[in-house]
Amino acid sequence: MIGDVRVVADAAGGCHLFSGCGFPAPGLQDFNFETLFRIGSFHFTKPMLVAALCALGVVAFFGVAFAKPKLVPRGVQNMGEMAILAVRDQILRPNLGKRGDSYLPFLVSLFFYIFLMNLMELIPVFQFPAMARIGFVWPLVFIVYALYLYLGFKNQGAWGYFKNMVPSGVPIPVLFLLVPVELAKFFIVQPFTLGVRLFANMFAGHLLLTIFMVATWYLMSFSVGLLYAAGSVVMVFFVFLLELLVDLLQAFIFTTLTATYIASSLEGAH
Amino acid sequence: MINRSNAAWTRPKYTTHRAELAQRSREEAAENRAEGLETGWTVFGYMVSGPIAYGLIGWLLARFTHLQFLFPAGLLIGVAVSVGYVIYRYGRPEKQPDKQPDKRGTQTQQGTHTQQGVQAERIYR
Repeated sequence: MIGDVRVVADAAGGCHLFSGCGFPAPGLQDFNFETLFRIGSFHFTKPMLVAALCALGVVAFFGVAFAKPKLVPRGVQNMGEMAILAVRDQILRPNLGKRGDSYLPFLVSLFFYIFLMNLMELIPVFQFPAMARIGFVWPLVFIVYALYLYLGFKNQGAWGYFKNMVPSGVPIPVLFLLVPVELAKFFIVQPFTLGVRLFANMFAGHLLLTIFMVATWYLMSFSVGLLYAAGSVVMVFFVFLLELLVDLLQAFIFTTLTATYIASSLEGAH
Repeated sequence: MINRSNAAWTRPKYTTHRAELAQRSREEAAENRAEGLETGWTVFGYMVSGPIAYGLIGWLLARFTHLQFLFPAGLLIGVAVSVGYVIYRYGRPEKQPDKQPDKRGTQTQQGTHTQQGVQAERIYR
């Protein structure tokens, strides 16, 4: 099989405490997966499968929910409406107000795609958050930034856009000091942190879960290790709940920051 | 094809006064949360961008002039500019929307109250 499942399986092959072999420490190797199948030189791997299924899942869910909408919502439509209204009231409206409602479909799909991708680290069989591979994060950052720049140039014009980047009412010498800082913030730090925040949280979460799961298996032996294994199991549950929170929070932060970027492009920051 | 005509956000809303108040407080909480999140990350962004921008300038100057101290000097200047700017922009208490005492109102310690506002507060108590 693939990835972390193999690590546990290796450990199952007699690698327990006091059996002479060391702790099979999880590491970067758990983020590299074998090819599931290949088309020419294109190798299809598990993270790609997870990403594709998540995208399909989001489309299918909202498609089913609003295929035949009723005036009094029932079943899936109820859930779909709750989901959309939650994003609208918690993320879109606080940042963009009512005029931002045209961005609702974008923010809803972004939020639920990221959330589902993150949740995949907790769902058995999948148990890998595709966002822990940074290659899946950069396209999202690119989409958000392209929209951010496009809306900024469209609404403020090229000159106005750069003029709005620096604060008004500041003496000229201070303005010269601030221009490099603003440019670095806008073109380097902001997109970098937007992507790396999501990636690093998922990476660390997956590693934590793997460590405690492998440790539980490794420590399980008829010795004092059993006690430690029990402690490790408790940690697995604790980290599981923590990751549930982190998954939701990271999707929320990414989408909220996207909404604030759109808002600043529409009105001109500062 | 998805039909949105009956979706929740297109229907008129009928709510009670209390529900409206609760909704408003929820909206305010959401706004504060979004604002706090944005401010936090913007401040962080500025703190990191200063050293990066001036560090880069200092590094380039150091390469061209062979004066090695320019790189750390650039980093330090960047930190100074960042800290200064963050204090300038976020370190002060927020401006009151109305500093001038209202002609119709009374000036209290908390700010300006209009007569009607004070009246309403008394009735409320």
